[in-house]
Amino acid sequence: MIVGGGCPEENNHMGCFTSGKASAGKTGDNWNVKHVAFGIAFSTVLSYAFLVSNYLSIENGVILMAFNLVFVSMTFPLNGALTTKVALLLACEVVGSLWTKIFSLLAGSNEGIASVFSFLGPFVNLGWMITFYSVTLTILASTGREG
Amino acid sequence: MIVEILETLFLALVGIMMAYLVRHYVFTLSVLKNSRRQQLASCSENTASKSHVSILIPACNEELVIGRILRRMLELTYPRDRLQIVVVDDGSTDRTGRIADQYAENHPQIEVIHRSCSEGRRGKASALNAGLKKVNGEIVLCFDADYFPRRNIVEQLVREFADPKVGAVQGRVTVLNEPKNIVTRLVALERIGGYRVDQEARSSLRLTTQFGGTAGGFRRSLLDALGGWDETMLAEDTDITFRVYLAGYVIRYVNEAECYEEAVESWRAYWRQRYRWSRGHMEVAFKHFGAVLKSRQLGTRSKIDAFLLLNIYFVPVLVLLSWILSVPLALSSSRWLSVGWCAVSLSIYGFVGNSAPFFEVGTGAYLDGRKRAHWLISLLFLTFLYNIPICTKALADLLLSKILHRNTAAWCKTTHSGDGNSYIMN
Amino acid sequence: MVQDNTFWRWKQLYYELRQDTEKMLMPPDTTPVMMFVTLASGVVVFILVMFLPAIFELTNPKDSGPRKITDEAFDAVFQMKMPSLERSEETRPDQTLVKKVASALSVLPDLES
Repeated sequence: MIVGGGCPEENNHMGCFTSGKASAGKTGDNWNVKHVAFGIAFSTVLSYAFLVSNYLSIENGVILMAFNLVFVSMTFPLNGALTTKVALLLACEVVGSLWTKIFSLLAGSNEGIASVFSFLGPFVNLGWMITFYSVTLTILASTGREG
Repeated sequence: MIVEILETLFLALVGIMMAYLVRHYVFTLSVLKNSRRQQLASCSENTASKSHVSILIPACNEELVIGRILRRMLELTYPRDRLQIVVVDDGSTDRTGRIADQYAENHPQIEVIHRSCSEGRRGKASALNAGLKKVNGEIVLCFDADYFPRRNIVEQLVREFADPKVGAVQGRVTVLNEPKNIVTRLVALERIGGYRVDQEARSSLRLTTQFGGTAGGFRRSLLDALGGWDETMLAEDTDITFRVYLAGYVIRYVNEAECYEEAVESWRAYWRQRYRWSRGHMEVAFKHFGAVLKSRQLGTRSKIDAFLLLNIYFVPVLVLLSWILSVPLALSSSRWLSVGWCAVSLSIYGFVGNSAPFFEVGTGAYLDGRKRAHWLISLLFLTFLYNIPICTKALADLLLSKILHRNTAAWCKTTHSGDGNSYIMN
Repeated sequence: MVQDNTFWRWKQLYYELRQDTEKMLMPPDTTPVMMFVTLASGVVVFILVMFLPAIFELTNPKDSGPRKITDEAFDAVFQMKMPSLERSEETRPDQTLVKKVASALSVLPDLES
């Protein structure tokens, strides 16, 4: 008997719709408030470090801060170990900062490229943000189920 | 001077987009916070209601799917002696009427109203009003012919009417033919964001929940007081949503009351459907704009949310306008362009109809227990970009029809292939 | 004093590395052709990274739905044509990659304890 929704053994993901089993899509007993608080504090420190070190421009630093806020508030309440979430956040920070740095260096090389990138910049940043957010959800769903 | 005016206009547009962004962010946080409470509620026992319920199924040339929904109606767990099913065969030229008649012959709770091509085919609202004259239930539920509900959906929806303030209910819509192709998969993601998070948040925050036209219902007395559906409106469901709220009632969303639907399977069909939705919604916006702002039935928060909901289909047009404005601002090296451009870029991932920002869709997919469906979120900007010309054309056509006094309400329905039948084994 | 010297040496080394990296990444003279190539490469990389998970999921769907609605008395049964299910026993690179990342992250110290 073939069932739907992906891999057969993972079909029982409907929580209370099946037999009251806990589903992967829960956010914990108390909404993981501690995780969210820690995440906000951690990301604030990281963002401050980036801005102070002058590694990124103010504009790119602000974009990274905005992403941190969205990422922490959307993923830290979910199921999963705090370690996993912090590691994923760090990975996003590294990739994000490298991404924006590389594109800003390319933009600095030529006026034409600079004007194009200043126009496309926010769309370009969305590239890594959404990709990493999607993959983070998958990892949290996998670790949350096993945990 | 011109640059300052353009800058002001640009910042105003950015402000509007930020308002929608904050709105969806708050919705997502609300759903995340309340998700555990929702799951406990859905596990509770459903007590059978004593209300008489009538189900309206308007159908025009739905021979491929009408049999499926009628079979499902007979499988509903609601007591048969308190359930009436009324099929409105609205000028069908195929076998829809005959198939419905076959079911009606063998099952007394099913009744069929046949309307000729001259009498009917004046839009879904007209068909629903025709069916309304025949119903005898205290609660009237509506299902489109291509839908496939849960067996206990009636109990799930009806129990909300225990609250006297509730005038209507809306269930959840899930895409049945999701695996078909990229269009159906993206539409499914839109539905996840729109129902699992957006509607859920609006209902739990006591804001403006929208009646989606199907998988939901009303109090019969309220429908009579409102005079039924407005037959001049293309989006009769959105219109009745605001009329319910302006009458002092509320609409509740019931996430457990799930119903399958067949999503559009091609970009062309997507265009036609969204064009109808956006034009209809804009029509409703023009009709109820003033009434919503002046209403004493709505609180401040509800008023703000209702206002944002009313104008949501204008947002793609505003995004296009902001892109056009950005060109002269970029040429004049305006500092405000770089400040506001981030908000504009984020807006391409949502803020139109069923579309939602990427974090709303991702959260909805996560709460549904989906593992990799949200990997397609990055493709949602394609649907948003596609919605820009759709909504722009819809607005232009609407303004033109207003000037020329043309009525647009007619059966502009989505053609159903019945392919979803292959996912359901009889 | 020795510690201060070490610190300043590391800081100097960091700044030299940074400058060298910036020089490496910055093309010396950008002709229109080079500008076009740079732009095109950037666009290609951007598109690839942005759509990589989507490409994975579209070419090898593991979660194409539909979401299963179950009833209280019995399950709604679905027929699903998913070629990937037939090969679910094979090791898929993307599937193992996610599992490897998840298992790698699980050995990190627990910050909560």
